[in-house]
Parts: sequence; structure tokens; C-alpha cells
Amino acid sequence: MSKQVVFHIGGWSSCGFYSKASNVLASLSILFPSRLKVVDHKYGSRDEYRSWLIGTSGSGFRDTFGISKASNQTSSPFAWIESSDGGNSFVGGCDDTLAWCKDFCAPKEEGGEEKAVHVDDGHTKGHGYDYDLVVIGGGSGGMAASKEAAKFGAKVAVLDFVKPSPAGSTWGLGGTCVNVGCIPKKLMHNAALIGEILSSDTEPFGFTAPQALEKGHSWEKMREAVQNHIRGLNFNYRVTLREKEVTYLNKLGKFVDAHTLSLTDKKGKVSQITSSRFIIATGGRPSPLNCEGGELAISSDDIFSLEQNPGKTLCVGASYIALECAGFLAGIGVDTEVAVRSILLRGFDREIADKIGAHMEDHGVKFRKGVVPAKLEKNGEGKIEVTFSDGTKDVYDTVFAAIGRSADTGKLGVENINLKVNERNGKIPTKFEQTSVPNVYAIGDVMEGCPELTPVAIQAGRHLARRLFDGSTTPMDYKNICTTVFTPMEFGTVGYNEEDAKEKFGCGSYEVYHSSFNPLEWSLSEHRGKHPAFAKVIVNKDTDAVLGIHYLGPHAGEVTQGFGVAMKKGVTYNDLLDTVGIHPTSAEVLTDLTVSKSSGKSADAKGC
Amino acid sequence: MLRVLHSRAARASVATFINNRSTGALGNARKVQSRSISQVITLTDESISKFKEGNDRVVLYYTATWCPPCKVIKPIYEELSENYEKVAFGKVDVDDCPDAAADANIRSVPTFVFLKDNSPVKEFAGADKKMLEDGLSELSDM
Repeated sequence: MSKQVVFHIGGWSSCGFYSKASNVLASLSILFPSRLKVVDHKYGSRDEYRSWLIGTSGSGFRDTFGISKASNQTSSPFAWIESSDGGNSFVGGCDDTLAWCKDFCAPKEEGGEEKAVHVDDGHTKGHGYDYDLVVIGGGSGGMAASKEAAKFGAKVAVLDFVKPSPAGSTWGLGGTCVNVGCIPKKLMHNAALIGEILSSDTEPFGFTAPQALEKGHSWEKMREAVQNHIRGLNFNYRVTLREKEVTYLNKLGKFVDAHTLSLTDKKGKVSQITSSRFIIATGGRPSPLNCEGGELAISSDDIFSLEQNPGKTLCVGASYIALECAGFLAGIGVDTEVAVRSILLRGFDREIADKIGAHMEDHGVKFRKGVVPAKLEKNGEGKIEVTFSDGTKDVYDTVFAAIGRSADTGKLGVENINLKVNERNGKIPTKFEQTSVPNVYAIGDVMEGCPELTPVAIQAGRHLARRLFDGSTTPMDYKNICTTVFTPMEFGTVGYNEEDAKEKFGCGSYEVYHSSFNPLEWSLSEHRGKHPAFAKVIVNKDTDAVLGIHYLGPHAGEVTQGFGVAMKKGVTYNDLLDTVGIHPTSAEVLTDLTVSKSSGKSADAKGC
Repeated sequence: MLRVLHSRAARASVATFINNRSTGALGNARKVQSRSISQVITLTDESISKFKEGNDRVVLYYTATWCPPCKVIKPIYEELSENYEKVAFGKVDVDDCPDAAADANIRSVPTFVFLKDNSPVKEFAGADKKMLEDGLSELSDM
């Protein structure tokens, strides 16, 4: 419940503008007594009013505000709001009062008024440190925050130093997403999609015997093209930082005290810099496989830059990283197996996760369920023999572990500044991205509770920079963030999945509308028909608000992005039905979901 | 045919020259000036200023191994280096020489910078043979 506003209005009794504004205010205070109290300062004549308001040479009431807009006002009414701290804030005349009233009545989203106000971090203009802001970590979030801060005139440095993976991989500026995450993943996923088009679609669409299929896939060519693209991006990031006047330091930072970092460069040379504020944006790194011989496994830090085709591969884990990689490996013809301890894609909609698993199984990925590797050892031929927890064994060329990620805070020297860190996962708890040390902030994967997604880190970094250097109070909105899993059949999702909706709202309080459908582009190919695409929305029965939108099918990222906007604006189920679809597309299914799950009718598409 | 052979020989000598440099041969800038056949010299963050100071007409080719258009223009650049005797041809890899690239404010690759008496007189980005030839002719006539 918001606080009661005490609104003052002064004027002279027969002034029409005063009466109008005063009447509207009086009505509102009757309708919303807990939110609005009106104090009326009514003067009998124009002269009395003016002598109160204007007085003689700067002694009138209007001059107590100390702002020229107030001091220049001569007309009636004169309106202001009383602040709880005793000060007053000037509103204006009749039009300003009516505009304020209109805004007062306008529907507001719950939480929409939340302001992010930081604990005083001691930052002043003449702080005397080397920098206004030093960002530790040049990934998506760190670069976005540093560039945004520099835009507002802050003197900024960004540190980026990649500690080699256990298998020895390193990379350039830009962080996980660009170098060993989203970018190479999506490109290699695309290689698999091209493979599927070649094998499934060429014939029915009139192309015959494509040479590409006979020659097979060249890992080396793909890797080189992907890596070249990434190196181009690395260069562009350096250029952009330079153009935005952000100092880029290829050095590893460690806190000495709350305003000092010791820096170590590639050659081991140590120096120090000081800064008024810091943002920790070091992200995360893959968790190592914790079993005998676990060091023989590679991770997502290594897979995209492998010199050679990984050969027969065991992917350990059932996270989206494990399944995306298994998916593209199988898609380019690699013999791929996934060891799943319990369920696929924990945290995502179960029904859809199971569909993804079934689709992958039919697309060359073997699943070894209910097991984890117990032991890895190199055999005489240089291959890796894996003993599983159920005692079974198999031999692989490559073991790829994607069992989770841990925050990269181990070498930051957090103990030197008494920065609170979650001991379980190394993540840093924050309030509005501010840590327990007021001049140290954290964004992105390293921050506790932050969805581990590049665009989230970017957005949070920009908002934080605006708050720190441009007086903004806008918080980062972590709700309803849309994302896509790039498994062979792509999965776009935003909002609650069915399990979470059940837990949060209770069984009978929501309805699910769903549909299986065959994208038109797939309809000519026999191979494509077996696993139809699928969409579902979860709707609050009371309010009609859409709680979640889930789409399994081609171009899921492109489909889901726009629905992310709709979710942010509070889309209802009727809004979806009221939207005219684009025909023929897959996305249009979301404007035409009429079969409810509770009806018991099949979600399968019917005929033509 | 003869020309191709000639060009290969020149490239081989560039390789020898670079090898010499990396094993510590000094005074490369002078050597460039006194050469009879133009060669492309691979520069470093350290050697670039000497190269610019030691030659009155210089063209610098900022490049990267990951850049597809660079692969197209590289052999052309090498071949042109044999035709403009008055001009010293340098090559700067923007990843190996981040400082040199930053100093010259290189925003994309390939970028060609033409210098007369160590002052930039022309610059362009892109694998454009015609612009490269025009720049070299202008520089030679200065």
C-alpha cells in the first residue's frame, strides 16, 4: 500500500481555475481517503492571495521553494506536495494539478513504482582515486556497464583476463557468451540445422543428391569459420571500448582493499589501481567433473575450439548446455551419448523437456539414464574409458562435462574487503546489484539470483551504470525474462512453466491452452512429421493474465522475443486471441490456442 | 609465368628477412630503404615507429588472420609491393600489435594507411585494389 500524499492547494475563492483544481482534488480525497489528503488554503480575495504568495520582494510563500518555476508563479491556484521530511515539492498551477490527479488515478502495475535506491557508497566528485569505476570482467555485462558509465562522463576501466581452462583453452575479450557460449553454440547449432535441411528437405523440395551430404561435415572448416568470427568480434569489442573511452586492461584483478585492486598481467607483472566504485562482472565457469579421472573431461570452455572432430562423445549432464551441445554434435554426425542423472532440463516445463528428449533420441542422440560417470581413465589407444555409477562401461574419444557452472569469485580477494559470498556456489548476494560492501556492485552470472543469460547481464549493467552516474532510480526487472534453448528442436519460453504455476497459484487457478502442430515448412518431408512442434500458454483463470508462454518448434528465439514484450506489458489470454496472426507461420499458433488442457481434448492438430 | 616465379622468389626473400629480424637482425628500417625489390615487412608494436621514421614513403596494411577480405587483398598487396620502389610496405596484425592498432585508431580490417615523412596523407578501409593502387601512385608522386 502506498503512502498517503498530503497535497496543498492555495488560491482565491472566486478564481475559476482554483475552484476547478480544488474540486477535483476534493473528489479524489473522498474516493481515496487513505491515499490522498488535501489541505486547502483559500483566500477571500485576489489581493489577500497575492500578498501571501508573492509578498514583498522575495518574501512570499512561493519563494520558500527555492526554485525559479515556483518563484515566478503569480497566478492562482498554487499547488505543492508536503514531504514526509518536512520539505515541500512544488507542483504548479491548475493544469499541473489536474495532470497530477490524472496520473494519481492512472492504473499502475504492481511493483511498477519500485525505485532502486542504493546505500550511500561514499562516491564524490573529487574522490581522488584513479577511476570513477573499475569493472572486473569484460563479458557482456561488464562491457555494457562500462560503456554506459563512460557515456555519462565517468572515468572507467574494464579488466578482462581469461584464466585458461583445465584443458588449456583461452580466448579474447567479450566473456563467455561471445567466446565459449551463445555465439559459437548458435553457429554450430545452425550447422546441425543445415544438416537436417540437407538430409530431410532437399528431396521433397526438388533438389537431388546434394554433394554436401556425400562429402560429410568438416569440423575443421566449421571451427575455423566460427573462431574467425569470434576473433573479429573480440577486435570489434576492443575498438568499441576505445571509442567509448573505456580503458581496457588485459589483467587479472584482486581486491587489496575496498578501493584498491592489485593487477597481474600475462607476464606476471603486478601493479595497482584505485577506484571510487567497482562492478564485479566475472561471470561463471563450468564446474569440473567430480569423479576419478574427471580432469580428462573437457567443458564448454574447450569444445568450440577443438582442433579436431571430437569423435565419439559422452556428454555428461542434462542442462541446456549439455543438451544443446549434444544436439549439434549429433546433428553434424558425431556419435553422441548423454549421461543423465535424473531429469532433462531441470527448471523448464516438464512436458516440453520430455518432447525435446524424445526428438533428440530420434535424431541420433543416445541417452544413458539414471547414471553418472564414476571413473574416467585413458586406455592404451588414447581413448577415455568411462565406468558409470551402475557399473557399465564404455569407451569414448571425448568426454564433455556440462554439469553446472560456478561463479568465478575464487581469486577476487573478496576476503580482503569482507564481501559476502554464498559459500555454496561462490555467488554474490546483492540488493539492486549493490553488494555488502557499498562501493562494490555485482551484475550478471556472478550475482546471486540472476538468471544466467547474457542480455540480463547487459540490461542490469546498463541500469546500474545509469543509477550510479546519471541519477536514475530504475531497477533491473528480473521478471518474465524470455529465453530460448537451442536444442535440435528449439524451445522458446517466458514466464511460469506448468509446474511452477501449480506450485505458486494452486491447481485449479490456472488453465493451460495447448496445441501440437506441423510447421508448413516441414509438411513436405516424411522425416519431419514424427515429432510435431508444440505450443502452450498458461493463463490465470481469475484475471485472464498470461502466466507463461512456451513454444517448441523452428525459430523459437525469433518467435519468443516479441511475446516477451507482450508479457512485459501484461498480456492477457484474450489479447492473444484478439491478435491477428501472420499466415502461414508457426508463431501464429499462439494467437489461436483454444484447446484447454482441462477439457481433455487432444492437443494434436487436426487435418487441414 | 616469369612474373609468378619472380613474385614467389620475392615472397621467399620476405620470409627470410622476417626470420632474420626475429633472430635479432638490427637496422631493418635502413635495410628496407636500400632494397632493390619492394618487400612487405611484418611489423610489431615495437618496430613500427622505427619503420615509419626510417622511410619517407610508407604504406601500412592493418590486417588480421580471421578477416576474409584480408585473404583476398594480401597477395595483391604483396605483388604491388614489387611495383612501387619508392614506397616501404608494412604489415600490422591488429591482434599481435594491439597498441599499434589502437594508436592508429584502426576500426576495421583491412585498413591501409599511407604516410609521407611519417605523417598520414591518406587512409581507407576495405579490400579495394583500385584504391590501393591509386593511393600508392599518389604517394609515389609526392
